[in-house]
Amino acid sequence: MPIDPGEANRDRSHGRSFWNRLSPMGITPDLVLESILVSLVAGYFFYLLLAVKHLRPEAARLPRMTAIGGLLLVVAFIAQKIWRAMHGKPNATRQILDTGFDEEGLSNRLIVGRTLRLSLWFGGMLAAIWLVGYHVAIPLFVFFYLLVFGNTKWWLAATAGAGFFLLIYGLFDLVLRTIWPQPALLRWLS
Amino acid sequence: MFEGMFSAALIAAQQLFSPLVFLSLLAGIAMGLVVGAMPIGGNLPLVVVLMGFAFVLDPYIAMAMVVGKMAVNGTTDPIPAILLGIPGSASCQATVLDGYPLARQGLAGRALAAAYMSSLIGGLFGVIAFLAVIPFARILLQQFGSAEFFLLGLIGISMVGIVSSGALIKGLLAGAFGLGIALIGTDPVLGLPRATFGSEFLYDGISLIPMIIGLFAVPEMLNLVVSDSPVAKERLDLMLGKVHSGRRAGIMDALNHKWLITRASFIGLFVGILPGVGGSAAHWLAYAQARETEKGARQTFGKGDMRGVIAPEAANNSIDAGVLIPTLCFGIPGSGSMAVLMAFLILMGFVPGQSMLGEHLPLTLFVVFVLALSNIIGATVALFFTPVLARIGLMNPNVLAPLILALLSVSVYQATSSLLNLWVVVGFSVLGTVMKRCGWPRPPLVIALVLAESVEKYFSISLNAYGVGMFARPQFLLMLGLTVAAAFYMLNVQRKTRRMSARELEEITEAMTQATPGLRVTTGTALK
Repeated sequence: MPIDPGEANRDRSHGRSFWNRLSPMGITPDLVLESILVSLVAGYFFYLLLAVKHLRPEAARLPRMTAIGGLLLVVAFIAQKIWRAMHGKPNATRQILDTGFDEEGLSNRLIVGRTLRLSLWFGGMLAAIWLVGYHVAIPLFVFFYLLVFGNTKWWLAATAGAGFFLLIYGLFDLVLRTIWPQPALLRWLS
Repeated sequence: MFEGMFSAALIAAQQLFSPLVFLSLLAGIAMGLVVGAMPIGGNLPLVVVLMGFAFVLDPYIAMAMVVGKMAVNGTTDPIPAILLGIPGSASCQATVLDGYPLARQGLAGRALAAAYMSSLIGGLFGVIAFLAVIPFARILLQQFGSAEFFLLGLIGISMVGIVSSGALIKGLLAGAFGLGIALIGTDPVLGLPRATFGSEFLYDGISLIPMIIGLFAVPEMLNLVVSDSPVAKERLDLMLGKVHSGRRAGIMDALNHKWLITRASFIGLFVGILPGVGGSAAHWLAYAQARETEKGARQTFGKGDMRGVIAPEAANNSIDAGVLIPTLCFGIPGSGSMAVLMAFLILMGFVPGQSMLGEHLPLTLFVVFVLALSNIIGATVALFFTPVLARIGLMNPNVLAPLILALLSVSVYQATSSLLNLWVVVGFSVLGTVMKRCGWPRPPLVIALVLAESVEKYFSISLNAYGVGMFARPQFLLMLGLTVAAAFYMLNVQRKTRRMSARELEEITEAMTQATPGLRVTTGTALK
């Protein structure tokens, strides 16, 4: 269902939500997310150290240096976070080199809803590619997404879907002679 | 110094005016003009889409499209900034401060014309500087050995992380993580599996294309869709009604401030050459420089002073040549988008650095010519087609996003011939989204992925050739010293820019938001 743009400025996260109960303790969704990310990174560095244990020194040199350096950085990062929390310093928000999400003025509900919507549709498209192949999945994805969320007239959405089919067939099949994988559905049926 | 340059220039010019290449240049320019006109997050990942076709595309056709798009991205950036008070990217925030008030005074057409002309001159200035640097860069690179190339690779990975100021440790961690991921595959000594999690799929390492698509393209599409806010059509229609008048006056405004444009272009070029400082720094530095040095500017900036549009827009386009200099000449990408461009070149079989100034000099000069021609064509088209570009640029993101995502999915399979790489896209999309959410810069990770192979190769060669003595080579120590000095300098520039931009914003936007309802000045930064 399209999300009502009028919801943009209404924040419905009232005091009883799960995160609001945790936030006095300093536990926010972003902190949990960052903790998972740091754990993943640290875990990978540990794995890297173990994985190259039996390799020759020349092959293990750079991975070991990277993993040890990385783990030291993880420790420094955690120490910095704790120090900032203890001294009440806000986290740095500016980075010259990358953007965060531009969510000014949007409610949490809207952000989560839109994120889930695109993620699920994208995931669905990938699943459809595996199931029925590119030639069917891509045009259908384009057609339905444009129709439902793009506020597009049905014939325009259909034209876009058909255009993608022609692109895949014309460019990839005829010109580039791409060899496509057999769709799972066809495999099961045969 | 100049040997071979003339013949390389001839080859480059010949390629530029061949029909297919010229058509792709026009296509790239068209895409760049449209994307630049989109408010916030409009930097569509064309390079990432094209990466899937890197193996089959002619390099000149591909580079014409990619560089053509990049060169004019900043040309139409000011359209939403001036007409609606919404910056087209974070490298356009300063333009809002004077551009939007000018539009409200009925001078939108004049302001836009001045912006286009400044962009054009700034872009051409950058091109001339690039051409001037090439002979000296060739001489410099001849003095480098494997130890210095190893250090160049390390500089490329770490510099971008170091100057992610406010996120120094995160930037370095992202770089180290990227380096670690890039080491998955087979070891370079015996060819045995290394860190493959026991999976045969990872024996050849993780392919660059699905990683980059997942890290950059998908989160950017997500941002586009999530951040979508309806723009008042009536406001746009009102502004578009006034864009046709004052064009000639706007062009003359730019020409009458040629020294201001020259200074601003220098700033853009210099900032672009420094890896990692970013486009928004150039923009703000140029604006602040104009405010401090131009007569009466302190009183008039923020109220509709044309110079407040001219200076940042000139810097905005000269930076394009600036960022290409370290990327192509030294193999040090100074930003995430340059890292992606480097990855693209590597996939096509070109290694940025010495070879781009040697046997592939025609391609490098081709890039320079494309930059020049794109700026000229882009500014001219923008001048006459602003209303069309503005309307296309405000297209519903829910129309663009599925088209781009569909193209990317096809591109991944085309490049890798494996459906399993769609899982890689999913995994790195999640990683990229989480990093973006948590404020971890992604460019250091991508740069590490791109440079890891050459870092390991030169490290091995250097250790075998020089042993530990490689760290004591005079060239190595000189480069290291210059790098450390440059890093401190860049951090200082960033700190000053941050303080200055915060102060400028505070002083000016308080007055502006009272006088101009609906004005929106964000504090995000651009992936440039």
